[in-house]
Amino acid sequence: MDKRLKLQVADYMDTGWTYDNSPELRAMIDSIPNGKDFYEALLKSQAKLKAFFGSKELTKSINNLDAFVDKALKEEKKRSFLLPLNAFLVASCALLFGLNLFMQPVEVVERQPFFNLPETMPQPMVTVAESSPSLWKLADGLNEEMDASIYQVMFGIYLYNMDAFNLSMNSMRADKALVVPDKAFIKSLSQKTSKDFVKTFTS
Amino acid sequence: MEATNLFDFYTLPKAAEAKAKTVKPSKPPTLKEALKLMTPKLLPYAMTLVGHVQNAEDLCQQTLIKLIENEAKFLNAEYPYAYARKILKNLFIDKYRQDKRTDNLEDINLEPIYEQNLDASLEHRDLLDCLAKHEETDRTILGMLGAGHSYQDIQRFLGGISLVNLRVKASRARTTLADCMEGNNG
Repeated sequence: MDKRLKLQVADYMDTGWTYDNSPELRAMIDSIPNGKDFYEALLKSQAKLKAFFGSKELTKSINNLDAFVDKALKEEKKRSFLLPLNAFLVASCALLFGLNLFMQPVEVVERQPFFNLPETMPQPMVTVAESSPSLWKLADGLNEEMDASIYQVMFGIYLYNMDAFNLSMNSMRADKALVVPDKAFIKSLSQKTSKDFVKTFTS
Repeated sequence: MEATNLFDFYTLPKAAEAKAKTVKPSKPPTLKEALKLMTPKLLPYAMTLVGHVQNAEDLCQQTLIKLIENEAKFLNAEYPYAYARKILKNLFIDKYRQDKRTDNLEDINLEPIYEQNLDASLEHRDLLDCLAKHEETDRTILGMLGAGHSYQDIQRFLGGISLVNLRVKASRARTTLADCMEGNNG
């Protein structure tokens, strides 16, 4: 039988034509020797192919594979959740281990004071009015030390010890001790104001 | 992850296709959907190689694992079905090489290993013998046609073959199979 005709028969059969339902196909098969045998062989081989590749066993196998896909993807999902967690833990451990290699042992250093305080603090200079004959004489002894005018010293002592005077700078109380103010206080007083103030008591 | 729609999973009839174009573009499948669409096509192909459902299922399982491992490549492949087929074929070659201990690809690529499945039902023996005489593409076409797949499905699965060429190949393969089974190869 001609190969070309065989192909044509196979092609017609592929479109759904059969010996019974298609006069054209029937005519073609009948016109060639052994045509009917070939047609039967084609039908048989197609049936065998369907029986082998379209069996229930194959359908069952496809279902098994679908179930396998579900299971595999579920496990993959679990794994994909655990993987970053495990990676994070491993990375953390590696980092800690790596840092330990470079870290120096800790030395305990005693804390040093910011500044050293002397054991004995300077006490304010106290003098008793009784021992000082007058404010002028007391100031006269201090003004060089304070690097200030005598009026500034007098005015400073007066302001610092108001309760040791009976209102006037001239009348010092004998029962009160005088506290000599520090140099900064004396220097902060205006020379002119100090002088004017003192003059008000002497004039 | 963006995936191609080369699977053509959402192929619609022509009238509905025009309507669908105006509504929204088809959505690429997820890995699970893609794999489940793949298995009915992989299994007949695996059967044309190993000739037995159980062994074919094993081969398909290994292929599916590989596809899951290479998810991005698989979903973005130009021909995803052909990509899966290639993986299955490579796994088969590995298995064959392991069993036969040969490195000659020309010897093993097109040769199925039906002789290992002598316990397979004898009623299909003549079919398997005749299939073994066909080349790989023809065997695949016959197997997929037997499993009830359309020419479009087979075209996607083989990749890089026109529909006309495929139909001609299918007719030839059918003819030679019928001749072989009838025992008149002349």
